[in-house]
This record gives sequence, structure tokens and C-alpha cells, in this order.
Amino acid sequence: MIQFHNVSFSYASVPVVDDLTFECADGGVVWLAGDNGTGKSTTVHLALRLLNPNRGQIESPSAMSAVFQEDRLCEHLTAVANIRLGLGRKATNQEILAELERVGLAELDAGRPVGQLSGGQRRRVALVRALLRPAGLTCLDEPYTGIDEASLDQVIAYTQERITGKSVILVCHDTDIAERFNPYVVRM
Amino acid sequence: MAVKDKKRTGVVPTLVSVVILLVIWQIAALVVGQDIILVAPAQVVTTLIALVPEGSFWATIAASLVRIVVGFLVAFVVGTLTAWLASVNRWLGAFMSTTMRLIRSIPVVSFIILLLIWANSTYLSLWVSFLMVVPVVFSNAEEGFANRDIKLVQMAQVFGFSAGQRWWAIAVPTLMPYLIAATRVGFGLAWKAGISAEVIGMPRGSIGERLYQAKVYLSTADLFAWTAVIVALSYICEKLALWGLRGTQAGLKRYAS
Repeated sequence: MIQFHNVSFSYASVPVVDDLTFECADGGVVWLAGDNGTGKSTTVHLALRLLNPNRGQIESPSAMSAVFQEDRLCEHLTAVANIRLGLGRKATNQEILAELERVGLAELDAGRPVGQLSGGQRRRVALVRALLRPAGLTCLDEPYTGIDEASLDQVIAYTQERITGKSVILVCHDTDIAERFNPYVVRM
Repeated sequence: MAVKDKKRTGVVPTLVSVVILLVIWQIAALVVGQDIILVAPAQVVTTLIALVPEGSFWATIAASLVRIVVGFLVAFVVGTLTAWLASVNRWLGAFMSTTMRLIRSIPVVSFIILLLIWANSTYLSLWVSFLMVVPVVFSNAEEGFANRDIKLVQMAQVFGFSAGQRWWAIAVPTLMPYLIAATRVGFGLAWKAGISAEVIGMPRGSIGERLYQAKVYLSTADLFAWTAVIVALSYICEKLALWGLRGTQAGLKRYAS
């Protein structure tokens, strides 16, 4: 469960988030909808406690995970190593590779650093890392950027299965994709 | 058309450069015609061959090598740790930067004379190499810490990385190019300053003492032979240190995978 109570935030006195209130129960999805520059990613950063609000209160769980706007992977490490680092629990290589296979990365060489992967491959690694972590809150900021149309359904289905029971904040410009999560809409 | 990496000189051009320098040296020695002023490369090699079987040659190398390498290693650890402290606290950062700037701007001979007043000359080269290298490692590591990717640091915070995981997954890969640069510059400095200190302080059985004796007996061949030994030792130390750093990085990757 995550709750925003009258939250406001400004960057150098420029208001970005103004008096925002919403809550997302366990198993629920909140979709932050709006144009560019309306404070969606800032709201995600506030939820993840990477920023402190100027006013208002945020109640969020202790264990969190995220797909950021950028992949934010350790370039020199393999996909398996990146996922294991973010997992917060023990997992075998086979277990992690099986998860990667489910998002269409069966051919992925476990020994290759993620810096050598394509944008779409890296995005899938970032997604698996966020979804495998046992977290109360998962923030997905444009999670399907760079993923090809052909495998989009497969990746969305994987996401829907893996977010069961978690609170999710979704930022997504594609209305069709967002609506497949049956979300509570917060207009920014 | 493939773009060539201009940074990699290659073995053959390097060897050709060495040969050209040796030829220039040989011609200059022939023109000068006096061994006491400029000895020929062949005579330096002969002197070196005569030195190598002597037990004292290896003992002298070991004595200087241990002190200078220990000085470098202590400086490497202290420089990196102080840079890390400087990166986490603004006040500590200002204090460390000022101290390192001060150490960097003091002439090496001032340190040598002061250390000779305070203590005997036995470990002089260790202290001098430490003092020469520590500001170099500090400034490089400080820049490395400053250039850490803040977005990765935030990611580590969200995903609850431990302090160790943050260190080896984010800090070490960012720091590595800066530490490699510090090692390249630092080992050269450590040897130059360390041997200079030995020439002035003349600890028994050191390379510096042998250089001083070469000066006293006007033995230019010995001076060149020992200088060649110093250059070789400095090169080997630098290569071994770089190999160790790269090995550490590769080991961390294997551990993570």
C-alpha cells in the first residue's frame, strides 16, 4: 500500500507536483497520466523516497523496486548479475535465466555484460529485475520503451502475472497499454 | 572504413623507437669520445652483466624495491580512503583537499631533509614515495567518486544494495580508470622521488647509495647501469600493479555472475 496525502514538490521554487493525493492498495495499479513535464517521474521519485516532499506526507512500504525512465543497469555486469543484485534474496542462475526466457531473452548469453545488449534487451532485464524483487511497491516508468511490437504482449502478460499482490505506480504514454492493467487513473 | 584505435601504439613501433634512441645514444657517445661524460650503450650492458651475478646487486634491489613499493601501496590505500571520506563529508573534503594540495606543493627535498632530521635514513624512501604518491591517488580517486553515476546510486538505494554491493558494483567500476591513471603516474613518481631520497640520505645497501658511489668514483657506466635497473623496476612495478587492478575488476565480475 502507498499513500500520498496532499503532497507538493518544487524544483528551485518551480512547482512540479501540487497538492497530490491518492492511494494504491496491495494488488492495485495507479496510472499517472499526463503530458510531458507534468511531474509523473517526479511523483515516482517521491514514492521511491529519492525526493522529499516540500509539503504533505507519503506512506510507502520499506521494500520497493522500479523500472526507471533509464535502464539504470550496471553496464559491466551480466543480465543475471544485475538481476541477482536487485533481488534481495538467493536465486540460482537457472531461475533467473528462466525468467529472462519468459520475456523473450532465451538467446541471451549469460556471460555478456549488459552494456553490449540492445536497448530492448536491456529494458527487459530492467523489467525482470524490478518484477522479481519481493517488493511492496513497484514503480514502472515507461517500462515498455524500446520493446518491439511482436513481443509486447508476452512482456505485458509477464508483468501482469508478476505484479500480483503488489502496489504498482505506472507511468505510460500509451493509453491502450495502460488500460490493460485496469488502473486507477491519476491525472497529472 | 574501420576506425583505428590511436591510443594503442603497438609493440613494433615501440621497439623501433627504442632502437632509434639506442642508435642516437651510440652516435652521441662516439662523437663525445669520453666514457666519463657519456658512456656507450654496449658498455652499460657489459657493466650490467657484471653486476647481475653479485649477491649484493639483488640485495640492493630488494632493499630499495620493498621500501618504495610499500610506500606506494600505503599511499594507494590512504589516498583512496581519504578521497572516499572527502566524498561523503563536505568538511572532511575541504580538509583533505587542502592537506593534499599542501603536500603536493612542498618540494621533495624539503620532505627529505625534514625526515632526516626527525628519523634515520633507513625508511626515508618509503616515506618520500608515500608523500609523493598520496596526493596523486587522492585527486584521481576524488574525481572518480565525484563522477559516480548518481542515477545508479539512486537505483542501489531503491533496490536496497548493501554497502559492499554499492562499493563493488558501482564505485569500483567508476573508480578503476582513475586508479589506473593514478598508478601509471604514481609508480614513476615513487621511484624517482624514492631514489632521490636514497641518494641524499644514503641508507646502507640501497640503490641510491650505489648511485652516490658512482658519482664519487666518476663511474658513468655504473650510473647508467643502475639507472637502467631503476627504469626497468619502475616499468615492472607499474605493469604488475595494473595487472593486479584489472585482475581485481575481472574477479569482481566473476563473483557477481
